[in-house]
Amino acid sequence: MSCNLQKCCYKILNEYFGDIVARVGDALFQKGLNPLKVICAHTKLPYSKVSEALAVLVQHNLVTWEEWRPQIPGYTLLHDRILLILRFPRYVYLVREQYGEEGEMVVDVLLKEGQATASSIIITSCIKLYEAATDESAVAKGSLEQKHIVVRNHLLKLIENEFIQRCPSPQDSSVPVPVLSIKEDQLYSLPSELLDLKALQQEIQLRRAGNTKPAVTHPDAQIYWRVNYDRFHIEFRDSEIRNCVVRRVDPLAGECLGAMLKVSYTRSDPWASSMNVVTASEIRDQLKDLKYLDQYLKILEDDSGGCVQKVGDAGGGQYRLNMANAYETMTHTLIDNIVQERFGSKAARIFRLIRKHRMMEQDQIGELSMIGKKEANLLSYRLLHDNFLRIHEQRKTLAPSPANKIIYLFHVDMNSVVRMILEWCYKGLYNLMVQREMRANYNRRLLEKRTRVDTIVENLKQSGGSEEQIQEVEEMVTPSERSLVEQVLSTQDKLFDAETGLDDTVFILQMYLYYQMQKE
Amino acid sequence: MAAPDLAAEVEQRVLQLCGEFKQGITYQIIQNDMPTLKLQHIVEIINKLLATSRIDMLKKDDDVLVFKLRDPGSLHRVKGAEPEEQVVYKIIEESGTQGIWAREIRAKSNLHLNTVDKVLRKLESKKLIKSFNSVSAPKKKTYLLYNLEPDRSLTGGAWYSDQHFDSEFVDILNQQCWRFLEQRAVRARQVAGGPIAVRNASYVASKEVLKHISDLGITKVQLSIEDIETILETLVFDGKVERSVASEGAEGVKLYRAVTGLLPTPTLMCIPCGVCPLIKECDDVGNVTPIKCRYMKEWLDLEW
Amino acid sequence: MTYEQLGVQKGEVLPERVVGPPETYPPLEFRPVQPAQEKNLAESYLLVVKKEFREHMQNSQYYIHPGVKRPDIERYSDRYQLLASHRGQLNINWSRCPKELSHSSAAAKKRKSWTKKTDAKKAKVKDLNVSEALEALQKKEETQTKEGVEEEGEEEGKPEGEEIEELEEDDEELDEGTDYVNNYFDNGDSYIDEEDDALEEGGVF
Repeated sequence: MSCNLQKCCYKILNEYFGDIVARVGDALFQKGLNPLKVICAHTKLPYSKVSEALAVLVQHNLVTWEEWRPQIPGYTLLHDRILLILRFPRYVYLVREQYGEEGEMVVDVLLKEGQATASSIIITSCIKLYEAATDESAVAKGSLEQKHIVVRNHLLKLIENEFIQRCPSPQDSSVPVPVLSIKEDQLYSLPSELLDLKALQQEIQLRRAGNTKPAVTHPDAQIYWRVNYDRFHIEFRDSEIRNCVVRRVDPLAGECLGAMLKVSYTRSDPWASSMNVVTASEIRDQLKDLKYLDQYLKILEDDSGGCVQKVGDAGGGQYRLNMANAYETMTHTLIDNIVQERFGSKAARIFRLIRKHRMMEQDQIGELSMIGKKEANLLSYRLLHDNFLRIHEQRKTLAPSPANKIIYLFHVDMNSVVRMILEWCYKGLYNLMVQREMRANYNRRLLEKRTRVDTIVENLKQSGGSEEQIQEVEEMVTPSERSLVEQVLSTQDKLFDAETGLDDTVFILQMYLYYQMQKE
Repeated sequence: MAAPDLAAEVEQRVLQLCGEFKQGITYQIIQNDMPTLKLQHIVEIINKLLATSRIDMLKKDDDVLVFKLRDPGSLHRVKGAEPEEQVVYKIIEESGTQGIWAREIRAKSNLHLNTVDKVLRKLESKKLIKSFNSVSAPKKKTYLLYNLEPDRSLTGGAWYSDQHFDSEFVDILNQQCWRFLEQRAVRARQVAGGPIAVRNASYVASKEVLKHISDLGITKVQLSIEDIETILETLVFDGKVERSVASEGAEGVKLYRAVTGLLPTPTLMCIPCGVCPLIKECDDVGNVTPIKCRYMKEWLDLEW
Repeated sequence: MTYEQLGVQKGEVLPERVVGPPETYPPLEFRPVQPAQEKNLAESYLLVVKKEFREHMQNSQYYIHPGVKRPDIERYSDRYQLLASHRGQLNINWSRCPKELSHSSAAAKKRKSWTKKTDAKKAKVKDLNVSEALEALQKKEETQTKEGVEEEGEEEGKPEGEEIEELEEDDEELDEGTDYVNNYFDNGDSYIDEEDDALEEGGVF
């Protein structure tokens, strides 16, 4: 298993769940399916702590279990999900864009809890929305009374659209190793009888009044929900492909593609490599009135890197979306860009050449690339050294004779290049996190001082302290310290941003590999 | 010995025959024409004509000697030249822009290699011939007349000057073509009539690109359509240009247009790790670690 | 690859040779690309969300701290770490996990669960035992290290006014667990609920 991925996962768990959970996760990553006592032995952590850690991981959908020996569970780490933690902000943002503030809060709450009942989601969301709204006008507050209904509606919509799904539940929770199961039709259904609106309102009011543990019962106490990551990934995927089309053609072409996707989903499995056929007339209906639709369809057919394929003429034209091709084209572009930034544009030219021609002799490369022979050879060698290119030996004839020359053919093994780049991404993520942690530690005193001062100032302001007092406190931090803090914080931000951006690259590569594996 | 006026007649006849047979005449032809002439006489007459540079002697592949009428123009040029020089000069002249190797000259003239070399040096110093290195045989000198340019196929075409690949020249052309196509694509976006109209308006035929480049006057070298298309192909492999073919009559016309990349720069290349030459060695132990990383420091502290 | 294959001619001048040990970090040929445009709204928002999420998680009950108290220096920072009242009390629905996690987890022990009506009676009887037991336990914990001291977890306790959202199953009755669990730990004390007949026969390992 990938060492880079392992270290990356460790770092993520460490950051969000602490060292103990990270070590438990790491042990599971390394050793695979194992029971509690083995994990304890491996991590040398106390039983209680390991259990706690496992419980946390289970709660956050990062660990599953099965019966390892009779009545003894063995745990497995879902390591891919750990990486997804880096993607959470994207999920939240998407919901904000498509469903607004309330929807955003629902998903935010759910991501933070891992699993939760619908009631608790609604209650927590409402309370947080109230807290956020205290900064705003009283008019807004008026509508807060019915907030729980609004939130409930958003939750229902999110469930209906499959962004949130029901968790499987234990059939019999009295056994040591419960078996979780769920019926297909329950996955995305939240029957109204499961929610007691009055109870919700009651609890919300109690909590707002300061009662931290109100004694209110809810009918859905055993029904838990979680975020359906893959549903978000469909959105990201579609959005990415649309962006490519917009870049290449224009925004309306993106609209057109969006319509094609929408129609395709009514009759296809969204994760199929190739969707089912849609007709131009259906697309036209979807778009209401797009001028030049036929032209756009033609252009998409020609210029979408194989994503839009025309398969017939009935109904004004029959089209099929091929996601595998889309990601193949995108990934080729991605890798080309990487070569360009790493080795220069001439190297990128050579790389594209070889990729297109599949196998090329050294001489050909220099000739067709219009780069001097020597430079071409040197660049080819560098690409070879960094494993972007491979060499295939071929004997000129089959007869083994001294005159028999061996030709060396360069070629690109895309799948292995992609895997390599993915490893680099994991390593990059790890390195970024290490740097961030290091710098935070290095400047901890300073940052804490600043936080303390800010807190005191805040308190003073709220309790009506005098200007003098406030200024006195603020001066505890010198100007040079202040600017240093700014610098440190801005560096942290840069590192955070890089992390988020790097995950975008990871997403494309993962999609590519997913579709490649589907082919096999 | 033939009578003097008879000799003159024979000379005339030989010259006439040379005029008739532009590819040259052989002893056999002369004998056929004037059967009464003794071979010895023919030889004498030939020698005289050679000496006066009226004719040239060549050796064909099958070792047959052939005599050709000498161009009076070139006569002037090599006036006072030794017969060997004339022979060699003639051979080189005939090779035209293809040029010819010393070894080949020796074979054709039937002269000794040393003689040939000496003659070549002399002719070069007189600036009557020059040498160059053909790309097909870079180690051998190829000779041709001083005022001629070697054939493009031997010099590597427009891209080679002194057998040296002129990559700067290629790069400049690459840039200029790209700029031309890009401007066209930008203008095309204003075109009404839908996306296909826009796309069509952004296409440029290779002919038009050639004209543009020639008009720019950045080079004296005469470029051909194939040359320009070669440059445009490199732009395709730069990921900046797309090629299409339109059918116009019997042939297809190659069209090119500038295109935008599908993706922006991936974030991996915005962090040091993406460009780091040591990424394979990077680990938590040793000298190359994320904590010790010099590139990280430079990138974050902006201290390049 | 040989020099020939690289196309380098004999006697040609090669780039200057580096004298001495090579630099560990040679100067970069290409630098990381600077982002072309200003950060857009989406990117700024993502950053805010990320930082907020991170901070929340680190202060949440899901962030497991090592249990060791640091008797040495009381750090100033301690005051400002949210005194997580949940520290050591993981508040989740234990019925949705393998039983052993709740049995062995010190955190789960302090759980007070929601009692159902039917068990109210049972609960009352257990209460006395349990609260005494718990007190004793708490004392023990203070003095002993965590290792090896594990008591069976779940007890139905009287609601101490601490009700939690997530319903706990009332089947988190005290059961001694499997022999496996018992054999692993040296339980000096076993708080077996006498009313609970279910002495489970687990496999013996």
